[in-house]
Amino acid sequence: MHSIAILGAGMMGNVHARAYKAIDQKNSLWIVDPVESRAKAISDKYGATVASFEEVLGKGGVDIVDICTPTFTHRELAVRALEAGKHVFCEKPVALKIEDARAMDWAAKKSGRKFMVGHVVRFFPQYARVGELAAAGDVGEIVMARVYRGGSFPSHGVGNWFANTAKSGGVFVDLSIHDFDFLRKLLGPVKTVEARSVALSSERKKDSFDHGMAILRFESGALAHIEGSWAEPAGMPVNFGTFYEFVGTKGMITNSYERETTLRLQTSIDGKPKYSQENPAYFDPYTEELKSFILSIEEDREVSVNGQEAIESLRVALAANLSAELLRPVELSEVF
Amino acid sequence: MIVTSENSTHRKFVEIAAGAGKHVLCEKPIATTIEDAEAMIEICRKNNVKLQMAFPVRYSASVRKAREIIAGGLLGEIVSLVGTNHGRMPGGWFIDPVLGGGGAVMDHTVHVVDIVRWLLNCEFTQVYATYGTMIHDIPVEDCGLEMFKLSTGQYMTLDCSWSRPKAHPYWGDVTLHIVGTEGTLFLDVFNSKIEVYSNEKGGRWDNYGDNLDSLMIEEFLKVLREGKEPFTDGNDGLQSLKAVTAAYKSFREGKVVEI
Ligand SMILES: NC(=O)c1ccc[n+]([C@@H]2O[C@H](COP(=O)([O-])OP(=O)(O)OC[C@H]3O[C@@H](n4cnc5c(N)ncnc54)[C@H](O)[C@@H]3O)[C@@H](O)[C@H]2O)c1
Repeated sequence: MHSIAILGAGMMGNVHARAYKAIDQKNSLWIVDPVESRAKAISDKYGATVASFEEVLGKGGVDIVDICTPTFTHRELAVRALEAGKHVFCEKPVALKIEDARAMDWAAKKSGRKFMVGHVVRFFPQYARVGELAAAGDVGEIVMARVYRGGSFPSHGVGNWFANTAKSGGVFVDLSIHDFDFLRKLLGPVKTVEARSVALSSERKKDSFDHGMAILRFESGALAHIEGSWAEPAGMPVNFGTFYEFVGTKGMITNSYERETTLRLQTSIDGKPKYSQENPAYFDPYTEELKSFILSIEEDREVSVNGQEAIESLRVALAANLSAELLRPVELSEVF
Repeated sequence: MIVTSENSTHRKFVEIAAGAGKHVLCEKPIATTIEDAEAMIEICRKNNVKLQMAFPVRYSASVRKAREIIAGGLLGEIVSLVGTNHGRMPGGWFIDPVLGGGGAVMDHTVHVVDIVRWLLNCEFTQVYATYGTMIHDIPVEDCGLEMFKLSTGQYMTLDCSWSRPKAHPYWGDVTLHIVGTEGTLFLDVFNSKIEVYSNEKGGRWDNYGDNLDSLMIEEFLKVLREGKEPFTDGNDGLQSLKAVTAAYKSFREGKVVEI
């Protein structure tokens, strides 16, 4: 049983609150959010106690602080929570700059508390399976990857913070970082990044709209193509999707969110047509992720995604941004 | 005369054909060097014979429909494109550096470059390419990724890899994801598929779509009968080859190069 303070009662704050309750009904939750109505919604739904950040820092009983706030606020919140002796879980991306991420990692080391970053794709079964299949060797050594992640623009953010690249980092830092992290884990360190993003390199930039393409070469020689998108129109029946293809020396592994679905629903209620396709499952990757964090605290083990790994994944995303700005390939060593 | 010989011998046969006053349908890529391609266009012009390029993908009804959608402004302004032309490793002369003139980059860049030139009425102006011999033990590259800039301002990536394993149920693909300010369009040109599972032959995909090679040959017959200019001509062959030779140069120099 733990006492957990969730910072940020937005989309992810809700996902995490549900996960902590699914892990253990007896977990007690605190919720911090400057927007009262948002904090109250989580309080009502999950029995969380509304509090201020200062209050939870001062409460000896609170052992975990879980940061689900907009990315530009992560550093300060994480460092203060660690300094107050809390274990910290922080949503991805860890921060917007390497310097900020380093300060967080350093605060964790100094405090001796656990610090984990939410690279949740590692916990998605269709991605975790790739690692297992690669290890089994049926497709040989993986030498090339194509990944897509995208949909419509995340307009749910408080004050539309996703639209501000200075606050969200843009599509590479906010979204494709999931894939950068996964690919790094699978294929090792990245060497060169050549990338373009509409928000960063096109005169045709539109607010609340981005589409990025990145070509990576890894130290191992492996190649990867990453497409991250916030360019699908809003209000589509399927507004988010992923695709991957991993080519090995002896075969290939592929999965598509659009192809592989288990439930399709078409209704017309009061003349309003509705379409959806889903893959419902009892397994929840966010619950698994937080379970793993809690276990690392209870068993005093290394967390599954530590600050150092989050920094490395952020470096790749920042190298993509730099390449898109300079319109030239960027060596990862240029980003530090 | 239809030239379907190895890439680097196209010039020789086109010169023989043109010299004998025969119209020519030439396989892609037009040649392995810009010099050869220009000489082929010139000799056909001088001898007053037609030179049609074998770019079957441009004859696809889906590609034609995409062009109408773009021209109609349904996607708003096009801002980026992501293409693939995957295939199996073809072997034979395709992997002979001299006869083929290269590997996957030479073989699988031109189809998508050609349709995009036509879809957007643009030329390809810059390229960054990275490639390698990753999968097979062969003397040419089997995987490649390219980042192009178009004269209309957009960037486009292209995956030209021979990365479909033998075990894959189909030879490969031509896909194009077009992103506009008002919408997106996804083309998967050879996706009219039937899945066939045979205890004896394993699983495979069977294509029931229009036969693009037939459509291309019909066009050639029209060119011969009506004396019209080919829909895909020598210049289309030359322009797409320029994208290829610049891609090789980019990799050698490790930077973005002008096409
Ligand atoms: N792992 C994933 O799949 C995933 C998905 C979406 C977002 N995220 C990440 O999660 C984080 C939050 O994103 P979101 O979509 O939930 O955003 P959101 O805008 O829906 O929610 C953020 C909430 O934080 C609150 N907030 C702002 N400053 C605060 C502060 N100082 N203290 C406490 N609360 C504060 C806001 O009022 C808002 O309610 C971001 O870092 C984002 O990148 C991760």
